[in-house]
Amino acid sequence: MTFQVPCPNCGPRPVEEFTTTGEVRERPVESPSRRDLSHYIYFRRNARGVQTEWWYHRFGCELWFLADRDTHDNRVLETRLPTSSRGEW
Amino acid sequence: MVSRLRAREDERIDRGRPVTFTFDGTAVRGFEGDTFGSAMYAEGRRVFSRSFKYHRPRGLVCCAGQCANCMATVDGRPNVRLCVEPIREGADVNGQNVLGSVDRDFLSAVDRFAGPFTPPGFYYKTFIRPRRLWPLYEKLLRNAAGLGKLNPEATREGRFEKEHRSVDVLVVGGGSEGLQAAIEAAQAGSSVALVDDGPEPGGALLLTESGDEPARALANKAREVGVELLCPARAVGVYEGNLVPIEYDNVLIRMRATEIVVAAGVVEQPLVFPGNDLVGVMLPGAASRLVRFWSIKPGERAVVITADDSGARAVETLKAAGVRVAATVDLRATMPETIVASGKKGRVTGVSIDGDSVRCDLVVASGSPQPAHALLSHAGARVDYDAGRGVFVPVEVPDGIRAVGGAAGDVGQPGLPRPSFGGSGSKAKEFVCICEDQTTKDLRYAHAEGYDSIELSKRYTTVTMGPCQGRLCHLNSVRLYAETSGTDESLIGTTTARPPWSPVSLEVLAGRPHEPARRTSMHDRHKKLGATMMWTGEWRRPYAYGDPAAEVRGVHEAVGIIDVSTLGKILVSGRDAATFLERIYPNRFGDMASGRIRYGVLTSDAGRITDDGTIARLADDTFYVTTTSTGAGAVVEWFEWWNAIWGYELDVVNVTGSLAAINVAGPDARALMERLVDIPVDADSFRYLDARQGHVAGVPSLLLRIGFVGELGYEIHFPSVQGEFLLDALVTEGADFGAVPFGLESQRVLRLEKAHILVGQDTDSESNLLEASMPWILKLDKGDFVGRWSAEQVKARGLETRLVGFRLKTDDLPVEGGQIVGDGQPVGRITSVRRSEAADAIIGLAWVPADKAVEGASFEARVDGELIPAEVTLEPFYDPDGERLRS
Amino acid sequence: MSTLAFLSTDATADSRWTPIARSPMQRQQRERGARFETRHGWELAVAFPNESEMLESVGIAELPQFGKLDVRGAGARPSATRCTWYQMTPQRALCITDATITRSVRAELQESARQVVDVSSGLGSVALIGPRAGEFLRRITELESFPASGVVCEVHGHVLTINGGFLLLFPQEYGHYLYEVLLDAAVPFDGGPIGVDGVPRGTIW
Repeated sequence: MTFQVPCPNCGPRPVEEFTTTGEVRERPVESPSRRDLSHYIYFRRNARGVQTEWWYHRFGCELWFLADRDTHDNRVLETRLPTSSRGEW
Repeated sequence: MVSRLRAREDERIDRGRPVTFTFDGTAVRGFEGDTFGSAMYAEGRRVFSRSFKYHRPRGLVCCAGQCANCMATVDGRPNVRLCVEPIREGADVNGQNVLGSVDRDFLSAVDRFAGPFTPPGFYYKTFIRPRRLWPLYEKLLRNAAGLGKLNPEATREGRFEKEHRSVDVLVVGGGSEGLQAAIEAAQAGSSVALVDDGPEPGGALLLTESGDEPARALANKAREVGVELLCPARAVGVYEGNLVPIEYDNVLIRMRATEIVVAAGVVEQPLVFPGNDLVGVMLPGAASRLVRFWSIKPGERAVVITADDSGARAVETLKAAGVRVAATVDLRATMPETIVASGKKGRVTGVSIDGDSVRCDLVVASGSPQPAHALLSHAGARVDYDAGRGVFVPVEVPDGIRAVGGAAGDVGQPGLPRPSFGGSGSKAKEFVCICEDQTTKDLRYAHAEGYDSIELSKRYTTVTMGPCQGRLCHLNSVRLYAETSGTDESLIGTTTARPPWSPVSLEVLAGRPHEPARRTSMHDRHKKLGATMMWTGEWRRPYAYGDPAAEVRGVHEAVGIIDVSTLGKILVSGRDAATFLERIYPNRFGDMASGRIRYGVLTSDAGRITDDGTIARLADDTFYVTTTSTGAGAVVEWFEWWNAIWGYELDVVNVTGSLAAINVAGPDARALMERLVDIPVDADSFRYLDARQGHVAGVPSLLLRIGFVGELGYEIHFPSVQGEFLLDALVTEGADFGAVPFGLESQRVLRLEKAHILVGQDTDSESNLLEASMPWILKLDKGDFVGRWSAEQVKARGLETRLVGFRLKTDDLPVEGGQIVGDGQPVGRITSVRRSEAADAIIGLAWVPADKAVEGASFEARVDGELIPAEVTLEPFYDPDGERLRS
Repeated sequence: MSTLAFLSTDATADSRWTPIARSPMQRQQRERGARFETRHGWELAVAFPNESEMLESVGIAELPQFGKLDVRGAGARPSATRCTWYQMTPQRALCITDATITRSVRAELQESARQVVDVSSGLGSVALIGPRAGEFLRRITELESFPASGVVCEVHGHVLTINGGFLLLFPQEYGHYLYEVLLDAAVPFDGGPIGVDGVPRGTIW
């Protein structure tokens, strides 16, 4: 793995500077059933194609951001900072 | 017979600088500018190696570092290609894979007799029974076939560096197409680098009788317009993100290019005919190189058979070198039915073309010029068979890379040679893969056995898996398969091309031999005090300073000093700090007063324990969080992620390295601290779980009264740059109390005596708080928090397993991770175990079935193959009420 | 003491103790023949043999005594001249200060920033000075435009530009390892260590 990830703050950087928690997914809003909780914890869409993921610039600016990555060829199409109630990040 | 010609223009050798080396003990004389191979050839040597399986004599075929025929061991380094390795004074060169010598190899008996025993897949046919003899067979086979021998004692020699570069355009291949592409790009304003594996660029331009001048002129033009020429250098492969590692002397250049231009040209392909591996059969490029680079006459009498213009060029060069060209065949004009080479003692003596014999000692032959598309394939290009040209060409090339010249398939209109020129008559071996000694018969045999997919047959016959990695055999094997199976070459396809394109040593890939290590600011003091150091993740930590049992005693009876600087330390501050911590930890923190500390355990969203530490409230809006030594980065990452989602008014600052930490623990800890601090440390002023600020030996500090090791203790957090100073002060003043420095081993015993868990040691990725016997951490009567739902569900379903303490009645220490057995089944495991003097027993922690989690219950643990009874205890083994801790 | 005072070395108490600050690179500096002096409570390697030769290629100067402040939600930048401001992200900056003004700059920033944490002790700092500093830098990092935070010598670091070279900031617990790597990487450049006093005037400020 040697592709580059365009950090929204720093620009394109080698993938080794980052960590990722993978696919963005919906967190249950209230106490889920056992089945729904298992699904939330263990299941992913695992798309062959573009998926939105959480990435962290761990060995750089230390910001979390979202990335649309094509899992087939590791092209990162777009990255953006998450919107938060705090406004500017 | 000496084959060196008189001085020629553009020769690479410097006749004024002779160089001598030895081959198999005998001196060989050459010149500066020779390679080992050329010097040996000039002196008359023709046999350079013995083939992999049959031990047939082999000579130079490509002279370009492509095949395995000239591989030898140089100064202990195996598998060096002599045809391209620059000559070195005093080098000790030896043949490999022989019993005897290259000239007289006793293993050549294999060629004469062992054929029937060594068909494709012979490991599973002739050497499969009886099974118990396999170790013997294996030993015989390993010694009878192979390449060079590795020296297991070999050490790194010399310096190897890595360098990071980036350019707009990287051109791989310095022939005329590559140089022109580089010049155009530079003239258009791009930053350009060009890589070529020769000492000077030029590629095929250097192999014609027009001399080196055209190549030199182009190279100079390139330099003038600002192209950076890297030669001799080799591109290792193309990786994601247009990264091309380039081996340039002892530097591995990690080159990123916006655009890569592959101008790697073509690889000449051998013809397949009986006797095609005889010494003296070579590719046109080899003959040209011998003449032009090193002024060597390749032979006396030659036959030239080619499918394109390379034949005519070779004829011109051979004639200029005084070689008699006895016959030429242009496969574009005539296509013989059979070509059979014959020889004596492995050296070619003649060629019979459709029955007409011609005497010769040199056969210059090639078929299709196969585009060198490997780099494009690495980048994801699709390759397809061009039936009109008889070669594979790149067809769908991704963005960011392109091919020019031969590599792109620009090969004119060559003739299409027969996949095999053996006809039905000849019994001699026709080689498809000279590296692995695979013949047409072997490939047809494999196909008949059902290995008709190219990927399967490759693995079964090992064709293309030898040192040439398919360069000289892949095309021919596919064409033979097509003919044998009656399928189109385009349906058969190619095997996957992977980096490296050419061999690269591990030394070059490894670079400098430094391993990141984190050290505390007291590291040198520990070593001075006699500590044995150990690794904890990336940290270096003291294991012990002498006898760990004495250190344990010291802490229980007097006072001990331990460096805990490796703890993660995080400041969490802001208006929403308390709210945030309550939402991310199972604990309650909102009701914590400033100046108080709580032990917290982090869980994942699945309710699994991930880390633990202490949380001290420094102010309403400021918390000081500690984590495990290897967990700091992960916890910061975790905090930042959840806040990226929640968006609280919060700042997280990692101060792990900014602060050192020393824990002073033991009954005399207070007395020692009184000597050094400027704040009151009496029991009422500074209670257990209080956090106070002050100065210790003048150093500003945060003091935490916590008790991982179970005795009265103060953990001092202070600026790390003053680490040595403060440790010295503690050790000096501590001498009056018999203070002992203590390390990780004794700390392990002490915390185990208190049944304090170590996350990752006593817990794993499935452990939850309830089953780990820490129900008080879990505050289900607060709002949502990470891991809440899982905790609720575990509670609802009931506990299945429990982490408990145990005592063992034995003298033998069980292994950590050792099994707990119930009804003949493994039902749990021991996570920590040590001998405890204070408890006068072997004590430990273990996961047992929940119904065993009862004081006094007994279970069996496997110790050295035997089942030993153990007794459960739910209380700490030492000072169970914590009186010493809270004193 | 203010809540975060325990992070600052300049909060040392005036008592019978005289705390000394040392760098993790000391052992190697002593092995290389450095001369040491104590200034502002710091034991510093002030000079090495053959410094001027090193500066002809690339000199490696450890400058541990600078103040380093982690600033969140900044307002105004400091007025002092002997300090460098590195805006890492819109809400986070690193302020490097001359040792004598760390305390005052910290106080000034605390007026307008959301939070200022003194991380002077947590970041090591090494200057790469000389005509070949840029070439040398390519041997230890893939970073190309500065200032930048990324991977240097395989660890997380920050690279700022200074006159005639670069300033590297990195977690101090890697200090011994980093110094070893830098000095080794300097060998093919005929570069090497220089002391605090060997840094040409005007390089940093």
